Amino acid sequence: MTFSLEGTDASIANALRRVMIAETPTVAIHFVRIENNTSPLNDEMLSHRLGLIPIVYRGDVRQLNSNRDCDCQGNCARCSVEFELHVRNDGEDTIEVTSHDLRALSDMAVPLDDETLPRGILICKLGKFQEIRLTAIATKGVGKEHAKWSPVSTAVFQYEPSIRLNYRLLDELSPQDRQNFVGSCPARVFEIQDGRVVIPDVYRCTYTEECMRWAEQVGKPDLVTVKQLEPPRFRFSVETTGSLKPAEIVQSCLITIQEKIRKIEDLLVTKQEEQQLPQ
Amino acid sequence: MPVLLDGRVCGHIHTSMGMPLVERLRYLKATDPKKVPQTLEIGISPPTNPHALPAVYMHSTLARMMRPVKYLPTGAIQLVGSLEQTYMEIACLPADVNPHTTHMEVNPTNILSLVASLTPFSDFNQSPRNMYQCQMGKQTMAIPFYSPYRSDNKVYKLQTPQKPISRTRNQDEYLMDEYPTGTNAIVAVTAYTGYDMEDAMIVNKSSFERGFAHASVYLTKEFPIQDGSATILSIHHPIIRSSNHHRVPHLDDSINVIVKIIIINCIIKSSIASSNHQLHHQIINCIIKSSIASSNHQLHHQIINCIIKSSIASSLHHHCILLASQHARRPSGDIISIISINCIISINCIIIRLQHQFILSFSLSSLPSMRGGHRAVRRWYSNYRLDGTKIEESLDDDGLPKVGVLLHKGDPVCVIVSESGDVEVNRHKIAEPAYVENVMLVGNPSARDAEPYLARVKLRLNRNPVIGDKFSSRHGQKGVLSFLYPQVDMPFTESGMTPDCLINPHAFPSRMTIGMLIEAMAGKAGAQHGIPMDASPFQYNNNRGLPDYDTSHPVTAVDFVGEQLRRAGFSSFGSETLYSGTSGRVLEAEIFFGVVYYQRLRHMVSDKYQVRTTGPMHALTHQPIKGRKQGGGIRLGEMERDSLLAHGTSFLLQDRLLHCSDEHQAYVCSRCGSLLSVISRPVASESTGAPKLAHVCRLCGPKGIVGTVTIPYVLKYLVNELAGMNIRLTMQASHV
Repeated sequence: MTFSLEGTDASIANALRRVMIAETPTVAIHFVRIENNTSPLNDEMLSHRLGLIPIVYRGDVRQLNSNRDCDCQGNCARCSVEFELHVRNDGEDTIEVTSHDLRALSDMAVPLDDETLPRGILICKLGKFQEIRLTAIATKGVGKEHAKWSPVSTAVFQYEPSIRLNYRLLDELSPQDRQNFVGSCPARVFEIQDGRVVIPDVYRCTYTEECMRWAEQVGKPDLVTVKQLEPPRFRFSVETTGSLKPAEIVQSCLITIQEKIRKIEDLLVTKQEEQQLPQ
Repeated sequence: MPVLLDGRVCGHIHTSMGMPLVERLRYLKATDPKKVPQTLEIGISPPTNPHALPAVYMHSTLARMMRPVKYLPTGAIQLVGSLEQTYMEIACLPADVNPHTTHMEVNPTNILSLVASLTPFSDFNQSPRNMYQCQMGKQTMAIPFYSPYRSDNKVYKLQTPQKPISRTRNQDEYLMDEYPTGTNAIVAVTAYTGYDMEDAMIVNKSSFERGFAHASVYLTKEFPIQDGSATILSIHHPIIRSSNHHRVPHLDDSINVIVKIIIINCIIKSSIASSNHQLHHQIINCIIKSSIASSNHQLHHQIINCIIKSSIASSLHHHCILLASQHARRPSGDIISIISINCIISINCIIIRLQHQFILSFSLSSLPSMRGGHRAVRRWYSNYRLDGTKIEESLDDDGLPKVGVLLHKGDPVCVIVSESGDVEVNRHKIAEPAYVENVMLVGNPSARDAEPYLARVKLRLNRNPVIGDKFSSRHGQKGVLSFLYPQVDMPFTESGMTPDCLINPHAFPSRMTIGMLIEAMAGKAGAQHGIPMDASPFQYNNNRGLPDYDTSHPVTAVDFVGEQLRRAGFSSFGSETLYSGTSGRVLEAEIFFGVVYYQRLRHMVSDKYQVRTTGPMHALTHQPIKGRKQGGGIRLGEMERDSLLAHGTSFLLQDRLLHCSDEHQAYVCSRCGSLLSVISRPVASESTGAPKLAHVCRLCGPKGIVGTVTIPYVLKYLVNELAGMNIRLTMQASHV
């Protein structure tokens, strides 16, 4: 998902990015009780791989209790989702254990099931007579604590560049040079349409400044200037791991920021009250 | 000059004819393998060489090192041995061919060894760095083997390995992809926080959490059922050289003599004896009857001898040995028991197809008795005492741990119970918690129901990267992990990518490992295009030696890789604009960003850290002992002392060298100045008359003035040592 952000500066944009990556709560497998594991992977590695599987929670993740703060003993439906995995290979051929074999014990969550991954996410392979039998408990957490709870694979913003072409100087170039100028940009920002150099999408620019370097080489340093747009405008692109939809990530991230601000507000109020009391 | 084949002189040839002979033979070796075998090494040490005997050396034996080179006269591949090649003209490139050249390298990279050939773009590096890499390549954590049954003392295993993107040709040839040694890491070369100073390396915490450089150490602990059990076990493998020359391994020589005598006796007599089974049965029956009555040593000896004789002659070995062991089990004298035991051992030697368990059970109970004089006890692995009560709750019934269990320090690992009721609990001794990877019982496979004599427990230690662990690229660029930095704080690229690790640009100017920079670019291009990159040395820019040298060809590696990077939409020099992860603002400098294959080295802090507050002291000097294993301290040596002096920190110095070391209150007689003459003696108290300890000087008697001084304890030791050499050391002590 992409969206633009305007009328603010890098601090807000970066706050959004940081909160999306590190402070958006999701559900991931955190405890694994292994009953039998004769697979080639050892218990820790198997658990680690299970933890990294995106879990799609059907309710609102934010409403879920944190397992640590929940008043239950161990785990309960208010703070966790249980999964079961039992695969045994009785055949001759090696089989694959995938996220599809992970069975949720409640209908609140499922492991990621995406049409781009028809076979699921590979956990392990089992040889003849090998078996994995375990129960896994998924809990709520944030990417700050462990990357498995981070809902995004990329969350990044780009500064909109302001690319100014000097058409007077461009026209002085021979068609071959113009072609070379267009080719100088590895990100292919420029294109030639009807003999004119155009910029179909400014966001293609990755600030390599190769075009400016080229211009300098041919002795026309004013041919092109690449700068960040002033005041800045950002284009965000959010790519999810699958545990949340991109829009949900942004929404959740905004709520987190709101909560943070409210916390500061509350603290300010109490501070003010404290100061007024002695008088 | 002599002509030698496999070290033997087989003829002589005139010195001038030596070289033509060798040339002819080599030609035949290439053209007519029937006349001269392909594996024959034909070396000549020319008379001009003063260090070796001039001769024609030919070797045809097995297990010699040979390598393929191109034989120029025919163009065929010929195998060349290690001796002959020192006197051969082997060209590296076509340009090196001169009139004397006979052979040429198949590939110029053959000048490199296995480890050296695994360094990508090694022709771009300063040569010492390649040498360092050859050392370090052997210290990597990798996939060492695939067998789950091996029980090596210590094995380092990388859990998340990858094939390198930048690869040399030999990587394929030596099947290195089956045994990968590292991971392709996204590396940014920048000084970001200061945590990458002095070859430190910042690793992305999220990369680590996703499995970057995760590894394990496997340890095998052995728990033998009996110390010195090798003596008994060796009986299982008797050696027979000839009928009258016997060796029973690991037995005392005196016993061996007896064994020999008996064996010889037996053989002589048995050869006379008939092979009638019926007869033997009768003999044995008689012996049994007589043995019941007898308590005579001589007779006992006889009986056993008879049994041996009959057993040799008859095919009823099983029965006979049983009898013999029964008799020997109730020995009435030491000599008899020795003889009887050895009889049985010798029978075992003579008759190979013997039932081992009798020997085993018999020798277990009898052998130590002739050494120590008391009966040895049988021991076995079990979690139950003789009265049937369980010993350790966490262990299985067989006294061994469950596979997959996490062991902490002090947890039981193996329980051995003995016949006498003793229980030996072996515990997990190392401070690091470990998982049980597998448990093996070792027994003698040839004995049908022999009991195991050894338990092997393979432990798995989790060694995921921690601060202080060592990493290295393939260019002699090692560094330690200094910080697991959160992903959000890492700088990010235009596309939102954060590096797996950050290294400092200062790592490059003085070391000149240009190969690493090119590898980063090649790795990046390869990752973008999805192709493995050829990083073999001498591939670029040096094809001038080739006849088809083309000046328009992209010659340099940087040009070649740069073009690929351009096509992938990157700057052709591998640099990128990065944004600060903390502020989101652009970092002014272009930052070199690429994919480098990183290796985890086996030097880890958890094996090296040393900590001590107080702890064990040396008995002689009363100073802290040394050594990490014993909980010792780190020596504050002369140079450290010098720097403390230079800083004028005398209290710190006194604290280190005295108070925290071997501070001692010593008694000294200030009249004679001796540290050694003061003794404590009980005297009656003047007021109450009750006995109390008084310190008096033995030299000065009542005139002595005894007081205490604070000295390092070693000083007292020194005074003692000096006294031993007739040197008196006195102290001028006075009350302050």
